[in-house]
Amino acid sequence: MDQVEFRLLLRYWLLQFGGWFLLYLLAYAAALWALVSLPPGPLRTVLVLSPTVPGLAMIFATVTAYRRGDEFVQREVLIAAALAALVTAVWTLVYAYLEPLGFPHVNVGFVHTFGWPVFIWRMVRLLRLREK
Amino acid sequence: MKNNLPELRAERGWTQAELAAKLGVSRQTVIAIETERYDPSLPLALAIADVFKRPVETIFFRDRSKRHT
Repeated sequence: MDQVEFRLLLRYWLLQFGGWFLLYLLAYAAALWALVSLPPGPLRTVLVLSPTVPGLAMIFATVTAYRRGDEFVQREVLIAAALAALVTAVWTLVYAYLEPLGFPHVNVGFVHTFGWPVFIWRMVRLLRLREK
Repeated sequence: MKNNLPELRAERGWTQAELAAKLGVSRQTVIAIETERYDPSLPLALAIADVFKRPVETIFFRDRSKRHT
């Protein structure tokens, strides 16, 4: 794999993924607002479902980067995904106990906002890997 | 697993990027192998041996301080 090509690929992935992640956060905020403020109807349904589009785009961008990576890069992507899944799972469990203590009841998509930054951190770490 | 990849690369005056290009992998992979953060797969280890024209066992060594079952 050409070096320049690989670095560009990873940078492109970070920009693409970061952009979709911001959109995900915005769509999630809009979905929460729609759930609370709008009466049942087509607009409310569209807004509530809207986070799935950037969510799927993030996954698609990652799968593309994984398929184009070499064996070490593929391993690092899998570790990043596993760590993100672990954080999401732990946060889900913690929130399940926080809710009965008075924390607001939120959509299950809320926990994803904690897992994805972990994934991004691991990928930035991979991009910035330098000789010791 | 230990290796003498940095020494072999320095002997030939290659940069990590040049070695990565010869192997068809990313520079991140070469850095990870050289710093022993990552043990290459058997096909990649054999490709490295081919590039340096040396037997694979003269490039990669078992780390005696670690236990492998």
